[in-house]
Amino acid sequence: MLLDVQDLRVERVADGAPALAGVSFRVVKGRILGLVGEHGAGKSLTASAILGLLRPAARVVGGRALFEGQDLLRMSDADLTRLRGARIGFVVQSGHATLDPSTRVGAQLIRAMSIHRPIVKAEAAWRAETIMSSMGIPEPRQRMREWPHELTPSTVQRVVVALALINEPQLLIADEPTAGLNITTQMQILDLLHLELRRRRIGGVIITRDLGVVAQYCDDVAVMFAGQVVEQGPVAQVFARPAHPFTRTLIAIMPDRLATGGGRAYGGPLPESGGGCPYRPRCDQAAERCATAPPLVGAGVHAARCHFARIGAA
Amino acid sequence: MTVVGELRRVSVSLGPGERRVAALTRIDMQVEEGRVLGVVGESGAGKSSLARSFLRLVAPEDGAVLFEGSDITATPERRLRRLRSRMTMVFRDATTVLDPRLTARALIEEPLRLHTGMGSGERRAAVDALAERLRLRPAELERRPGELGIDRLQLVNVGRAIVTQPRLLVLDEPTRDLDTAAAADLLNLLAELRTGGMAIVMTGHDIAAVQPVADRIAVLYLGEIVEEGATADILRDALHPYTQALLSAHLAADLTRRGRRIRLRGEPPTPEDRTPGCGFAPRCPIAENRCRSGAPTPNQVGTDRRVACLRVLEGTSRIPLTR
Repeated sequence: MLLDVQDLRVERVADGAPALAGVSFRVVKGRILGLVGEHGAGKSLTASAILGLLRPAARVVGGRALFEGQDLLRMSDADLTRLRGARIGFVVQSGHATLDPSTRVGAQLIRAMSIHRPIVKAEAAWRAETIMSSMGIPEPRQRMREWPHELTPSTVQRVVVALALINEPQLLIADEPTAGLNITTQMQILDLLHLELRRRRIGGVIITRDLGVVAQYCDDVAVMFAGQVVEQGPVAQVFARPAHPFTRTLIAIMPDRLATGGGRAYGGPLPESGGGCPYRPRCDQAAERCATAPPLVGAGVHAARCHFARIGAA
Repeated sequence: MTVVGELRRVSVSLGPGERRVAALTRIDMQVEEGRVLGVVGESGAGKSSLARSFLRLVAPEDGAVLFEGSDITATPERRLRRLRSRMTMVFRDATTVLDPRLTARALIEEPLRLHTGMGSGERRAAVDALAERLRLRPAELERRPGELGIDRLQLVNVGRAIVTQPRLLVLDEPTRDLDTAAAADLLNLLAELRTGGMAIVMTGHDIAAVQPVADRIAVLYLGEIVEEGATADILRDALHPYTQALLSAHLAADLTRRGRRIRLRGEPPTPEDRTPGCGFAPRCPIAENRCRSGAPTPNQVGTDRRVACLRVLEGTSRIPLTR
């Protein structure tokens, strides 16, 4: 087990409102987990909590996040700093925020290595060039001499992925790594990222709103809704027999499946007060007992949080 | 079927003086009542220029724009204004195009105030009825843009455009920032409006964004239409290499298609990069020497399709999928 997140609870500092209500999932070495859900479901928050980057807006109030057996949530800042960027790589949503605008691209890649271990500059430069080229950046040596603002958005994102991979991490967390880019470019970057994770047997967490990314690039999936994981399991099983109504809807409205004109509503607000199943205002199966918290149904690898879930049923 | 919006050999250039570049080149396109036209292209392809051309929000350098059969290419803005309630636009990025000082109700009501003689009670009732159809809650109508999430805000943006019951509705990337469920809701709404007889043009970054409601799809590359046809035909058998690549980039739910796709080199070009010959040739996996010299024009293929590719006429434009 590479990463084992158990019952992670986070609340907003301002009003003590729960933001993550017990998130659990696992990442196995060499496998890629897709963490999928809508805007505001708590996907990025989950990543921030694991990496110790919540402050000041939110704080962890419970749970564990075991990385190779060590609890990241109880680790000192100094120890976490040693892990982040070295054994755990992180790709954030907007790449430009990651890059230091006043340092040339090559120097940033080299610094990312030398922070974590002593390295001869020539070797570092060679490694930086290699990793940039493996992310599909043409003429990497020339790009290394450039400033971040001189790069196209797609190159920025490629550099950010290269930065996350450069220290050969065991685990890579990528938060919407291609959001906002052109579709043909998205595909190029995801293909290369996927290839690097496989080649180096890196465990991956890809955070996305797009179930297509999960279908095409991930081994396992955790579906989040309103601060909880509502379903998880191997991609093949979950797509073949989705057990939670939200997962079923997400699959049904993928563009290659969607038949419009039904006039039914898929989106909508969350319940105003806590308690019960958060999905019930949008659920066409909702019944009286959904006013109570749904149990986690399932055994082994495939599980769903729903009163009506039947795992393995067609 | 009545043609509502039409572009005839429209060319548009943008930018100042010497740096003026061609944004659209000789576009022929029309949309009929009760039909949805989906315009697909990556950034810089000319989607927004094309969307605006239908409403004469940009003045074409060449060609003609028609609305309900009359030529509005040279109509002065003062007279166009009278048409603005019958041809409307949903602009991109609801967070910046909506006046942050107005409530959702005032934003939706504004076009009625400007374009109709309705009294305030009547306007209020019209907004309430529309809000119910959009599934905007009464409390949300009293909020301002800053207090609404992007999904809800986009409903306000669309509400403004349809409150006057236009004949032609143009939407520029309406589902771009939306979650999947909210996007599906919006597509359902467009399907409803189409049934009501509205002519709709919508743009999207990829085919997936328009496919569920579009009757016809036009694929734009560097300001030119490379392929246009009925949605079902294009999905079944895309003929232009670029359309094939876009389709294969769809990250579909289908696990059996995993990894099998056409991979394009390089990035989508901007008009400044335009080379002679076919605009797509530098990235085309099956380009030949002649593609770099002669520019293909959209050719009629079969009865109902136009494709701008030299190899299509010989039937050699299909690319096998690779892993």
